[in-house]
Amino acid sequence: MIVKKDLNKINDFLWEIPKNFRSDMRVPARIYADEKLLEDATRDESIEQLINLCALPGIQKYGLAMPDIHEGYASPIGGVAAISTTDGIISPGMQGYDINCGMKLLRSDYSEKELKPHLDKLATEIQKEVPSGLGRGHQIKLDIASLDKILEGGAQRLVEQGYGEKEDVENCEASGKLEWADAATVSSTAKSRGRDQVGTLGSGNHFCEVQKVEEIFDEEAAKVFGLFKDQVVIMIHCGSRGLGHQVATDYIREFMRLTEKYRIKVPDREFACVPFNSPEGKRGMSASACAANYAWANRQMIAYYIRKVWQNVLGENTRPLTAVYDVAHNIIKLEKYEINGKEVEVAVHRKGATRAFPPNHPEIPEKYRAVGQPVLIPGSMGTASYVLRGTEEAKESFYSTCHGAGRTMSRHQATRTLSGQEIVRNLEAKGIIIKCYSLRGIAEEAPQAYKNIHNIVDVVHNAGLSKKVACLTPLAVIKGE
Amino acid sequence: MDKKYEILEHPAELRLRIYGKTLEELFSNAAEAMAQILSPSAIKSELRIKNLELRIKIKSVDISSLLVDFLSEILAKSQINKSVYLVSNVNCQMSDVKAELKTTLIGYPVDHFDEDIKAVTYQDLNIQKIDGIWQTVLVFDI
Repeated sequence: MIVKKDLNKINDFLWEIPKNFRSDMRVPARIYADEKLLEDATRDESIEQLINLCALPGIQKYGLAMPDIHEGYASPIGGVAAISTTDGIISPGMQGYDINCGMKLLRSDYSEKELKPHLDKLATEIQKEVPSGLGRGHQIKLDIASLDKILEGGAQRLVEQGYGEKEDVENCEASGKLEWADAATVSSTAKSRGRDQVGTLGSGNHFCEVQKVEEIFDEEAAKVFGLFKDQVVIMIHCGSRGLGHQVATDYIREFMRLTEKYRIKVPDREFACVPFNSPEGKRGMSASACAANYAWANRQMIAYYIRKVWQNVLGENTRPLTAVYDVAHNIIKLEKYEINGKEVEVAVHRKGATRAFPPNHPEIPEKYRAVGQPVLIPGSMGTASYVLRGTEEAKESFYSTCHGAGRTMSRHQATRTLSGQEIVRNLEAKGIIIKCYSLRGIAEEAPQAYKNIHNIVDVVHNAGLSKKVACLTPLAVIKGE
Repeated sequence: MDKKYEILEHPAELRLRIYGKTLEELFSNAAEAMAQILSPSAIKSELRIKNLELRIKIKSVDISSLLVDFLSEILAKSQINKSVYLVSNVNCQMSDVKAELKTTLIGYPVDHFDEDIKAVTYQDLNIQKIDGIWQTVLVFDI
């Protein structure tokens, strides 16, 4: 078990375990946290998992953990590893099974006061219209040829077919599509799992939320992002569903069988990996890209359903919802950084961590370049979410920041000790509308099961990983099944 | 020891300990644990409506991978066929270089899942015999 004295304090929000702490570490481990969050991290296996991550071949500079760090499998949740594509590996397990789990934010031109009379109907209709999983809400079943086009075309494919606006793709990480996706690298089992799940929310901590802008911290950035106080916005949290889960399963299994061939030792078999430039590595990268594209298409389709509801409930002449941004928090991305005086291409593996590019970065929409990339951080149910912006200071973290509040309580303990009914009552007493199919699911996602999002975001802000722009509070929460 | 499985603590995922008097029983109990998590109501005896019986064969490199591959196969079929599965007639064959399993899946149709199991992970997996009982920890990504 790692204890606090094993870590060196770099500053009030950054701690380091030196490379010589364990003989297989190739780089030091760094955790962005204040004293309290660091104490929390020592109570589970998350720091041990971070140390394991530091043993991955080709890892550059540091193994990193964000302030919402907690125990996962292989990497901790909140883990970041930038791995050289020249002589390093690719590890599908490092990004997690829910490839491109992420966030999408839509903004309206309306204030809370204007929308209040319609809120319950909006929430009810969104729950009906957005399929949450198996059998709830209408579902599309695609033929394989159509699915392949989505795997390769991502959100762009759906917008071309009329399921969105040009701005949806402009205001999306990677423009909603990773170019190196090849549908032939995805198994038939994965495609069978994904055929009828496009546009489905899923369950667990996935949700749609109607929110309002509670507080603005950065007026200039808020204006650039199109946000104003008391504005109604809608946040979507979901990922690549069964298709992505199966892609990760398939390639972890395949790579585990290649340890003899490539003689790569990893401290945790769930990190199963191959050289990035190997034929298997290229296929794995391509399949992960397909899953990522599927997730962007998924969020695009859900946005389409929400827009339909918006118009139906508020009327034909209603001013439409506009995409602010869409970010991934479980993904492998190709990025370039200066390391030891040379430009190095790295496969940045982020698991429960969000990309946060700084001002003037060419990969963010031109209209946002003056202030930096929007970063979307959901809090636990019924608390708050945040919009932040990327900063130049975060170069040290490969422009990575947190992804959410981080769990402190197991789902099992939450359902044993908390009442879903009581949680719903408490939220309704605060004026928050809840639409859900499962009270057990509500108990699992209780705010008490998560860290304090305000504390996490304050650390992120003070550490310079990204800067606060706006705080959003929920008006209506729609959970999947 | 009649306990088939028990749920352990994990901050984010679902961690269980699975038991069995034989290896075959361990595998069978692991499948039952997964079915119970996915949809306990579907396999309650009073509501039992047998769907399909499928014979499957799984080949893996070692016993831990065999358990993950076995449960992953069932999980995929559960989502694709909108069913949960129990198993019968489990037959395991182990050697130094391979691990194989044959079994019959018995399906129970569902109209929703109580829990969305994303995947079966390898975390903490360590199949061993302790005091005459086979057991392992198993972690599902949910």
